[in-house]
Amino acid sequence: MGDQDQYRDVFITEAQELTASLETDLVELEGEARDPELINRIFRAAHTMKSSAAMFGFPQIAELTHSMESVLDRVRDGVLAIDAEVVNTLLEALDVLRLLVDDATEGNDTDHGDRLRPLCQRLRAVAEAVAGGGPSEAAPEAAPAEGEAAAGTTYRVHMALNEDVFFQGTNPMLLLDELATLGEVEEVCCDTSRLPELEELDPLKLYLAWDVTLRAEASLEQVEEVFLFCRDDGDIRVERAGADTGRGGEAAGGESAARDGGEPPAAAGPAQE
Amino acid sequence: MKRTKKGELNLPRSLTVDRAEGLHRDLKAVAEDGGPLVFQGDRVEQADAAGLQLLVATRALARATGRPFGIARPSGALRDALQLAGLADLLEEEG
Repeated sequence: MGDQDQYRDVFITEAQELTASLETDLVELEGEARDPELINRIFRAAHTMKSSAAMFGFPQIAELTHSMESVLDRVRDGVLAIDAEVVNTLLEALDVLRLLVDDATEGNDTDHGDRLRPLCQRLRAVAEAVAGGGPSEAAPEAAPAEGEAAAGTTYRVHMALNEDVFFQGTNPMLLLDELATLGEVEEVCCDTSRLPELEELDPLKLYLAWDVTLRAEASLEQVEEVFLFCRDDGDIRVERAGADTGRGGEAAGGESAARDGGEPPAAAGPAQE
Repeated sequence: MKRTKKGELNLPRSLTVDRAEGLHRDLKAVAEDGGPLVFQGDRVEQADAAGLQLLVATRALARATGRPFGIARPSGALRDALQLAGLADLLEEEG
């Protein structure tokens, strides 16, 4: 099996899991659940699938999830109300998504454009129908939980994933990208101290780790949800900085959540640079 | 990976984990010729952590051996990826 086949398989496994998760969550949405956490979870599943599908060469899945994401983004922003049309269109999209993932699983390159194109047009129409309409009463808001700073909260995120995460289908860049969708990334520090010399390194292992300072109108739990599918794949910590702690300030000793899953990162040796 | 007439090296379109083994081989090969490690990045369409860490390791090698390192004409995709990963300083190196 070549490198590419190996990673396509990892993508397919992830896509199957995300499709199942979407199914559960969309059924819950159909049941008139209006939980912002639920909306965020659905959005991130679609966003993750879109990015991974584009990277691993599944353009039909990428196109469909991109269109779904545009609807969910409007819902998340409180611009679009969840009504029967929204839910039914998303459920129809899920049906086609399941078909596309099945095709990918079986290695079929069937062109579903006849079904896909009108569906994506409908999704875009649903997303754009209310442009300029202002927030709807029925739309949930991804608002910070009570007690969170309304103007945004500063979070410090430490992400030191295990070396073998590529084989788990985890893409650190997508996680960084997802964090960026939550708010403003004030600082990203990449720790290269675990990186071996070029001659010695294994190109299929991850040696980089990150510390991100994020300012977002999101709860601690919402930031943690970015790592929903990899919380056991390394040393991942999300910590709320003090409300008045600005860029480069001291880490707050307040509420935090450690996600020490697998092995801790190897002791940092001398930096290569 | 071949050197241009100016001695630069063309980075491939994909600096991603599914191409990382081939890229690693290419970088080790060009590192052996002792020339400058200056790349052209205008063709890069996608880059992930696996690809970027190879560039970081190549820069470390260049520094350790006193050779020039740089990435000329980075594509938007490469620039965005480096920015996202907190590695934009790779673009500040002068060949």
